[in-house]
Amino acid sequence: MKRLAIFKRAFKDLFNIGKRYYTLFFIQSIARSSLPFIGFIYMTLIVDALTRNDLTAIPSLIVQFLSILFVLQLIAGWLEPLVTNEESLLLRKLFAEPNKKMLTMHYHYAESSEVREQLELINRNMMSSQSSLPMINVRVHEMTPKLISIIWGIILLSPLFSINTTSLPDGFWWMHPGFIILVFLILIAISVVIQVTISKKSGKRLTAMLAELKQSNATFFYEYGILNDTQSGKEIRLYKLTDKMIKNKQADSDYTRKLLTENYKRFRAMMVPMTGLFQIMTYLTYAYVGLLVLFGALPVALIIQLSSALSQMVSALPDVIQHGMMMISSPNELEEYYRFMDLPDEEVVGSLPVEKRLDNEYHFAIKNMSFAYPGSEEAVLKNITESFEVGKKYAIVGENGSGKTTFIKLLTRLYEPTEGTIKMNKIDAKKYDLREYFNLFGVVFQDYHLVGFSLGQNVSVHPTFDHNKVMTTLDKVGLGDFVRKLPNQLDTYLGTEFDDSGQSVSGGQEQKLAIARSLYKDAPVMILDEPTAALDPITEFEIYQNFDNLVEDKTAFYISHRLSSSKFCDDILVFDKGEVIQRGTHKELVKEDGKYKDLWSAQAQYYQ
Amino acid sequence: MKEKVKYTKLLSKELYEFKPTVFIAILLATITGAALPLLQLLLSAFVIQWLLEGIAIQDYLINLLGFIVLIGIAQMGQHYFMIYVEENKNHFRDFMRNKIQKKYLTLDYPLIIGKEAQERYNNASQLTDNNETLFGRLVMETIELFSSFVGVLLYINILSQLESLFLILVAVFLLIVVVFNVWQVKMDKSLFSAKAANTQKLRYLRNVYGESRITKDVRIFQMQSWFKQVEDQTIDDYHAIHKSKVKLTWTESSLVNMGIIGLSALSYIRSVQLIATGVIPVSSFVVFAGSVTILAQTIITFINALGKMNTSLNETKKYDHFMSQGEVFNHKEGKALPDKAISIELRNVSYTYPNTDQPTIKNVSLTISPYENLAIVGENGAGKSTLTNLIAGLLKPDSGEIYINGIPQSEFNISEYYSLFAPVFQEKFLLTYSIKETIIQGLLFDEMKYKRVLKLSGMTDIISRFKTKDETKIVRAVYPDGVNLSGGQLQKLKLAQALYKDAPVLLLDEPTAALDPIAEHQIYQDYFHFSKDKLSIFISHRLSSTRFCDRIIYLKHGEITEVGTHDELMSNQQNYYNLYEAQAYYYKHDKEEVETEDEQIATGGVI
Repeated sequence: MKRLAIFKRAFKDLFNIGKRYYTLFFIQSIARSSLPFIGFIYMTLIVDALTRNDLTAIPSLIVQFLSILFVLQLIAGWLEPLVTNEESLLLRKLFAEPNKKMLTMHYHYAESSEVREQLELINRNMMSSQSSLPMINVRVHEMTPKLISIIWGIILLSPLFSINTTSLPDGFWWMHPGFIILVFLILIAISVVIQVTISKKSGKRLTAMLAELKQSNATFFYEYGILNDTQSGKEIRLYKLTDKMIKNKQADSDYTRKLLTENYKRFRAMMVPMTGLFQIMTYLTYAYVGLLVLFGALPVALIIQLSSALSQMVSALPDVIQHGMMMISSPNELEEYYRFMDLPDEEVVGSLPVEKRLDNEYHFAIKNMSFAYPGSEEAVLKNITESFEVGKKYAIVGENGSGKTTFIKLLTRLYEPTEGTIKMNKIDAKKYDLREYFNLFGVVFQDYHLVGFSLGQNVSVHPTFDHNKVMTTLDKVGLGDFVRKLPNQLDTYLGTEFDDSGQSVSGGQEQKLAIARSLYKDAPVMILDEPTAALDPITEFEIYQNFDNLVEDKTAFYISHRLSSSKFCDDILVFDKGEVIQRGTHKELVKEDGKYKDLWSAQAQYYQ
Repeated sequence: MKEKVKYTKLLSKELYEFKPTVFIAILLATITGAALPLLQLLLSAFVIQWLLEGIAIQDYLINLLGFIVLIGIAQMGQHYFMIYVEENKNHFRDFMRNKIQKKYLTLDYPLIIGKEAQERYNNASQLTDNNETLFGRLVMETIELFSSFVGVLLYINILSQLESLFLILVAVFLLIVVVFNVWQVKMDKSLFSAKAANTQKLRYLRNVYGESRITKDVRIFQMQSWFKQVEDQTIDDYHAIHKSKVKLTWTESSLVNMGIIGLSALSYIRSVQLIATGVIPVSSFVVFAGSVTILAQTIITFINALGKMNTSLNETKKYDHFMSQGEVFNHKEGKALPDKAISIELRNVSYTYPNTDQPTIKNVSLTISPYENLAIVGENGAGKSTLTNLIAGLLKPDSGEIYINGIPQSEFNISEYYSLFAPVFQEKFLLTYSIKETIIQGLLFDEMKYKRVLKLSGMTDIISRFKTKDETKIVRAVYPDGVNLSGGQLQKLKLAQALYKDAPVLLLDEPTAALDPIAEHQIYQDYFHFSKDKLSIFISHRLSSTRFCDRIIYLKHGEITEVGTHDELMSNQQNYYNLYEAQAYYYKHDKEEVETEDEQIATGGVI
């Protein structure tokens, strides 16, 4: 039952995502698959007229037939390019679905490595699982025309029921259509049973084979990705990996080939009885209809209609069954897909709008806040109580893993505290609308990421932007002149990943763009998380020097494990193992014995 | 034309090398493919004929049986060959992919770097991507071409018996189909780059959605609607790009269908006339009426197949270009390698990357004496890595020469030459999957040495924490039950790898750029410790790590501007001094500043 529901959901999703495609495709399939049957009908009518020597009826039959043919072919032909285009878009959309989910799910899922691995698996299954949405789409594509053929077949077989049974000679009672159809139904049932068992078996084998191939597929994709980065070529050559890799590849491919060959061997063995059965049914059809004709129970011409309709049905039915069986062969993987897609989205818990204040008077007070990552017992932050004033510059320092970045994630509500509260202007932060709350922060994360769209869009984070405001912001971070010199200025694409005409920029320029993006947002709180980690010393120096100009009168948090940066902040919080163990100005802290002093002298010594 | 012949030969050669029996399968599949539809038409015709003649029941059943057995055999043959071909089509693609990858792995390093080299490789490798690309579709395409060709001849032959006018009509029809085919190919060509750019955009968007580094930014900056609008725009562009193609296809479909209707009309009218006058039997109506539909379809298939084959031959060029690349370095027998007391000398070495106008290394001369610890420092993009790549024989100088103990680099066999160097790079690629394999790489296994290296590098400790010890897999993307090594553990692993190679020259190309200065300093101390009996070259932009080297060279815009020890360079007060001061600024000024109080920060500094 549950399985049925999940496939129902898959169909619903498919039709929703590909509404246009399916509408066009169904119309086209009806037109295209009806063509041969219209042909059988008219062929029968014309041959019938010919055998009766009724030549007067023929011209109008030919005209009718050719007109219908022309219309149906035109419909099919005109829809063809539209269907192709829509299908390729549908496929792109289907393949993007799981990735898109990453944008909306709750942050702590998006960040967890398990969910990441799940995503990778699901993306791989998209191509290899028989019950993934793209594969179900393929099956629907294959089954639709066959189903239409079966319906036509049933319609075309109807003359069998109007046979004049009295004209059958004695002793040929068994030629009664009711009986014969029963025989046929039994034969078809037998072939269906054979089909189903074989499909089930081969489906299982295929799944088993794909499971066996998973490893070598994963290896292939992994190595392919690494080889594409030419830097890896240096290690391969200097550590003499070439021969080893070629040998591994060959072994992998031999193994794959062996599995495939076995599979094809089974295919071939299956083919003999299936083709045989099909030919037997063809023989019986012709024999039976032929006999009816010879007994005068049917006009000669009907043999065209009846035998063609039967043989179409006989060939379409097993295909439909086979595709249907394949489609439902891996429900577990489909369930997995939906488990992933059902991960909760960013909850909209709070509803309180954030008060817009021109004076940027936003005050934060943290009380007894503790935090452990979901699914982990270990507290990353322990019982923190601090408050922050408007317009001050705070430095957050501490060793790797002391909880600095986690603290920022909580402050910005990417995570909710396990215990304790964060109050913004005396109201629990949880009560605010999450989107509006996010708008309070301009953050440059250590692992910030720009996208390949235009420079202007990257700063404004929107398809349209205020040209002057973007330029002023870029001037502030010192990129203005660089951008003005570019031929397309703000419309220049960033890097060549998205658009080949793009311009690659240096790491320093990227970092400055990321800072510009936060500034453009004009949020009351600026957070810079190790913004200079990837920079060469000269650029790092420039950014330090300009820090005050950048943040102006905003409240600012500056995180770094390089203490040199903490000197220009008003207040320093020293984190150690999830606790704030010291707080004060640089001058105060460097005088008192403690973590800060230790860290400071440890780093400074190399530069004395 | 000459090129087409050449590529036809090349493709045949590859197929033959893959499996000669494929040719026989192609031939048999062609024959059965062309004959089957005709046999089926004849079956209906004969049955009608027999029935009209009022054949005896027994004769009818026997005749019918004979015919159906014949069809059955043809059908089985057809199925058998098609499955055979289908199977080998996949194997062939795999075979070609291996060939290309093998070539890529054995190419000399300069031939794989740069945009053009990447393009050459990607172009060739894309030919094996799936069943729609050249090496996936080639076999099927050949069968389609041959059997449609045979079919066209067969059905024209049948229909021209009915009416010689057919030949002219068919010729006109053929012309229409050819003209549109050429048009379509032309349009595809003109749309190709726009389509590729559009596809690239959609693919890029998909990757961005799943990008782990962007999860935080997406939420804080609420990028979803931005992405949505860019995607919608890209899809609109997609439709706009395809619009002209759709229109052409509509015109084509209208004209071709008119042609089909014309041909059918002629065939129907003529055969009815002939039947009325008694020239041909009623049953042949089925054959003629059926043939005309099949002929029209076969002509379209044939012309398309011809067009596709033409494209395929053009695409073969990409394969040929990639595979026919030669060698850059000396792969013949070379001079014997010195194994102790290596000295390296660069004489007027210059190097320019392909497709750049500025040389990255300009006329550099440098001698590194045995067992020396040399640091190369400079700003990003100064050419530090390029210089080490030249020394390691990964790149070849455009001019000048590099000497090892007085022997020019080019006189050594390149793969022997590589055994002189043990490098550690910034990027930590894992191309082997277990800890053990990663340490040994492509070298021979030596138990004693391996054990020693484990101990020296501190890997013994790390290994002891895992259940499967040194067989533990470390690439989770391939072995989900493996472990993820931390940054520090990975550093140790790479150290072990370099130690195991035990080469006379140690190369460190910013292996610790992602670490903080303290951790970096410690790792450099490790390397200093192991480099006592080696010539070693250290690169870092953190001057605190390299200041203890025997000698430091400062590289600026591909030239050596300063040489000396840390103290010497500091007293020179040149670039090195400036760089060092910039890094030390806040640490140093603190001490002096205690009295002067703030002010320092607000001013100065240029962005």
